[in-house]
Amino acid sequence: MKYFFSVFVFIALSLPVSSLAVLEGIYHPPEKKPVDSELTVQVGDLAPDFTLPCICGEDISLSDFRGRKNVMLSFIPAAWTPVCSDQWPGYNIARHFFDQHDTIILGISVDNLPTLHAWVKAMGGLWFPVLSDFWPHGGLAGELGVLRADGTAERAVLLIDKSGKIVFIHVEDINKRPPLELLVNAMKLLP
Amino acid sequence: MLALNNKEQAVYGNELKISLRTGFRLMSLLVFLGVFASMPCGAQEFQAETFPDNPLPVSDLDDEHLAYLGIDSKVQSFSAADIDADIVVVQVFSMYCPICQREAEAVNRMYHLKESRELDMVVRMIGIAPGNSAFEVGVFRDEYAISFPLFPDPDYQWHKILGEVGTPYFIVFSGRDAGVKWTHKGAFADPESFLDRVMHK
Repeated sequence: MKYFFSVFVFIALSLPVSSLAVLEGIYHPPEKKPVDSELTVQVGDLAPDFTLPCICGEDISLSDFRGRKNVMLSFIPAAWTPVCSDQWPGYNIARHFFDQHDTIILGISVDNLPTLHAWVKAMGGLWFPVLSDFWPHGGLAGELGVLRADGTAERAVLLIDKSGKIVFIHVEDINKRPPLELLVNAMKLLP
Repeated sequence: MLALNNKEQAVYGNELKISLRTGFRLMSLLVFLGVFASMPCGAQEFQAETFPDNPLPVSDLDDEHLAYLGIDSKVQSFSAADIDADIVVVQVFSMYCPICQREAEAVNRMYHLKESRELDMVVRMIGIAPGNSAFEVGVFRDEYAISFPLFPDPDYQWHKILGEVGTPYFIVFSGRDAGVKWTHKGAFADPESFLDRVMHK
């Protein structure tokens, strides 16, 4: 009985308090240079195809959506950091904007899959796929010109229409979050 | 496999039980300490004794909200002390905050609970959203059908004024003198008990 009690105490202390501590105890990086990269693509270009592993367990390619969905690539610098931890969860209650424009978000960072998986779970889950650009490190971010010198991605958004053409690019100050209305207005540019 | 006689088995079994028991207690203690160690030292709290009198824009309020707060529609801005209430509850929140999203229904229930009860004092609620634009606040309001006034804080001005507290965060102050009665960090479990605490603090 005492052992069951010990196990209970162990679990009781671990689970609910840990989930609060997980969001409270995240790393607060110092303020960084707003933008530290140079785009290699521009509006009007065909977006390069890519394949990245998803925390959902599959590999996802941009070409999977050709002819079916508009795609918004949402790059964030790093998991477990304040601005990032409160960017993607916001899109959970903005999904109807994306659905209205037949658009899917692909969330991307250079973190590895286990890190992304744990972080997304701690945030309560997301409606869109989250992809790891870990290996080759920042391969896609670098190809698009949104890889910073420190190896993190910019806080960047690229909107790609169903034909694969880039219709909108925005690289935000890494210390801030792009306003939601910026993304919603961007989707109005879609054909 | 080592063969043990009955006496050796009893001794070994007891030692194993003691080891397991000690191990569980030690692990429980380590988890407990580790969790608290992982929380940031000096986690931000609102320290002031009175709620700041910095202006809130009237332009963010419709007629219903103006009447709710007892604010004259002719003024450009107002301060918290102008709110016509015995107690004011301020929720610091963000559209992007997953805890705020999960808790929105409970906060709403508390608002409606307050409205439905025959209270012996006037309680008013407002929300302030650091880092959120008016559009983003509108998304949150529409998603959760929030009835009380919400104020965007796109440039984090109020965030700095309130000591850079995290979200969700609640500040309860007296409507008479803006004296802060109570603050609460994080989610609350039960609107009834939260409201009782608001009323009796």
